[in-house]
Amino acid sequence: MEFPLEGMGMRRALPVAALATAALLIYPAAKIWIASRQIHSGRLDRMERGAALVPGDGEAWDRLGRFEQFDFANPNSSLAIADYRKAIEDDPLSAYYWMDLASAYEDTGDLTHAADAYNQSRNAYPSSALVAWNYGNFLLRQQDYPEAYAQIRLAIERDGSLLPIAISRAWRSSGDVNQLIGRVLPANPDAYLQALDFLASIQQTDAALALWQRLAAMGKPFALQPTFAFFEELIRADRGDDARRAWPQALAAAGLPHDEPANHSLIWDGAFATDFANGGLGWRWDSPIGAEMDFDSAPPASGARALRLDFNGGTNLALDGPSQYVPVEPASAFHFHALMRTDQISTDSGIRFSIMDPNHPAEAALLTDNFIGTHPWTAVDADVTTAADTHFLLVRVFRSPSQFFDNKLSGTVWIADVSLVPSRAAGAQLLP
Amino acid sequence: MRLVRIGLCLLLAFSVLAFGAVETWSVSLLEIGAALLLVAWAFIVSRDSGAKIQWSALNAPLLGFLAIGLLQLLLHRTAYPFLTRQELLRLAAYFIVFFLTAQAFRSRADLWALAWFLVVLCFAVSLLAIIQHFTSNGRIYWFQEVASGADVFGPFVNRNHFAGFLELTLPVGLALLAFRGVRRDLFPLVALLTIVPVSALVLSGSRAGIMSFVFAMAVLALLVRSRQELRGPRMAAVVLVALAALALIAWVGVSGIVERFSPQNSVGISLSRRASMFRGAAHIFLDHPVIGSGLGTTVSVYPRYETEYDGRVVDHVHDDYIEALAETGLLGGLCGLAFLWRLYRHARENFQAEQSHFSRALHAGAIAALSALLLHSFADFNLHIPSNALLFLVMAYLATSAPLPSEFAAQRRRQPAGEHVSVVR
Repeated sequence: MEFPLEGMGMRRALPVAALATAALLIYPAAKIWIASRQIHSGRLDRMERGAALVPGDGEAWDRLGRFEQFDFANPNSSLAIADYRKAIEDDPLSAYYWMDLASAYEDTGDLTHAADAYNQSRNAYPSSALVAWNYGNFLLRQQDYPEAYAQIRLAIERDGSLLPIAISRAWRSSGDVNQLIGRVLPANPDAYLQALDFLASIQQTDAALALWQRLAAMGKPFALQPTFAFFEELIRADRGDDARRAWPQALAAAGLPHDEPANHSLIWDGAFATDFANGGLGWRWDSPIGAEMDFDSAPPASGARALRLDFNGGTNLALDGPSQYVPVEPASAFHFHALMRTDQISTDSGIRFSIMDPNHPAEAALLTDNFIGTHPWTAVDADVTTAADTHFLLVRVFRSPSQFFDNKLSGTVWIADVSLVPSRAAGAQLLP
Repeated sequence: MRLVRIGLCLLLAFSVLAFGAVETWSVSLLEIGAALLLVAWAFIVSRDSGAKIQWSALNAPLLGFLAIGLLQLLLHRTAYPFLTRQELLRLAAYFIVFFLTAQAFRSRADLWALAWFLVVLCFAVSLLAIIQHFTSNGRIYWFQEVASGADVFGPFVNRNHFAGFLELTLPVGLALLAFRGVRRDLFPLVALLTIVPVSALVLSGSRAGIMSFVFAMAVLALLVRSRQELRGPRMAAVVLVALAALALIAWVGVSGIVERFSPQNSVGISLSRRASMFRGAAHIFLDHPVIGSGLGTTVSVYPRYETEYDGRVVDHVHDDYIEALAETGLLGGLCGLAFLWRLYRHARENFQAEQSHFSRALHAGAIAALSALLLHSFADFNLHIPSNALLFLVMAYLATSAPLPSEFAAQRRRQPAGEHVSVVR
């Protein structure tokens, strides 16, 4: 459709109408732009001018409020409250503005209004993890633990990334692992493992064990590696019996072979049938420079595989692995047995086994014979007696650095059928 | 009027290059620019005694949206008046640009210039996007940092909005090829100017964008098929362009693009999240069925209706239709339906009318472009990106603009009876 512009009147009215329309558009557009620049300037005076320029903009008042509340030099929560209230008048549906208001009320000690504001934020954003988290922490500070834990649990269920800090906060507020398990942790292995990790890190062994028992009772699968911190803590705390009970449970949950070793040996997988766990009560190998590890066929009438270590002659290697922490009874005798074969092991300092108490190094320390040169499969046997406070033995393949010039280690060693069994045999070979 | 035409083109280009005009400063400049162009137009027209104002059939539904926003403010029926006022300013600017486009681009020469402007803009932005994709470190223009989590492509902070831009501009060039809207000696140039954007679209990896573009090509093919006649349009040129573009992409490397279509790809919004946003917006509509929650208020209202929390702020629900219903209710829905009805009715009539190849190409390109973006709007919020909203309205104007007679028919009308007319395309 076309409309002709008839007459001078219409042609004069058109620019006037356009100017009026333009003014209606340009004025507010310019104000919003200028206000935006001022509000984001980071200077209080400009932010105040910006907020006044567009009075209906809740974000401007909220920014101003946070600036005043968290000003390092002159924090003023009362002024902040006034600004937050203006923000809420403009946008009463913003959970964030309500939470900011609650925080300011709490700063001024007005806990009743703070609680009201948190409830408003929950109404505004019922599914928010952040709202539940902030409210839960508010309740923790007010020592309303049951409701606080419920809110924190809600927050974790909605946002799993809050779990580590939630565990820390809940533990520090109560120190009660049953509260942690019953009220805060979601009932899944991942949450329990993270809590286990935390308790191990702060050396709360009993609490970690209680949590472990609940985890094992869950009957759900979980990976082995996340349990290592827990086992390190059991080793540190000399909880040999607990570690011995927990290790097969961990293996079973990870879907790994967990049958007790044959012949009552206390060493797990002495026949090297499975790959190294590299933690817990399994074999560990830290891949030192100058040594390579692999597996070979076992000697006749022996276990599944033999361990092979190749030394490339590049370093005067200080070797302390592969190794395994073995839970043992205190004040008891044990017989250690292994098969070893060497091929052209160089230097004067060869390969041997070391058995010691990792928590009491001076006790029950034992070194087997030094293997250098070439030897066929040879039995290595030793008896060791644990002291009254020994609950773990560290069994490891060992070499101390040579003191001579010709000290670079080369050659190959094979190890098979490693076992440590309780023995009534007396005596022990002590390190000279 | 040339001043207004140039001003409109500059405004469109600015809105695209200023990150889609999604930031406060660029939106404000857009609004101010539109207002100034309106004043310029008014003064130009007031000095022309023979001037006529073009009144598009789409003006009424567009003004209807504005009226709904004003009503929401006057009756205090908006959840957040400030946001509604901001949205009204944007809509007013869009309407002004749409209105001025209808006034300024009427003759063949004007539309020819506009078509070439769109084709060149499409090509230039695509070339920039491709080079930036391979050489930048995630920044726009190699220096502009964007918020973490942004999915930059070209000057847009989101690859899907870049795709929306291409959906709106690329079909113009392809339609010029298919409907012989340019001289034969210009075919290679137009083909080159369209190969690069097709490659850029595929490279962007926007799944909805690529599917919408395929839909646009299907629409174009249908339109071509409806005009099967001697010396009629052919899709062969378009198919060749598409194949050349795919060859270019294959040479560059498609692994990243193929990954985007993998079911295991976890980048972007998941289906369940989209479904939950749709449900939330639907509930907003059901709670505000007549007049909606308020223009521009989704970001404020939605949290109360959210069921699947992921820590991200939802400012748009990735479905322009349900969002419009939520914000403007049944009244807005009726305006939207009226807009679409009139758009396609007039577009169809104007496409089928007797006209020059160029004019038909322009109509076809616009129809394909609009169809692509309207399909994409089921899965994204391109119509809330100011640059794409403006281009959408420009395409809407082109689709519904009066068909231009062929040069031959125009010359015959101009020649006195009895004189010969040389045949000129």
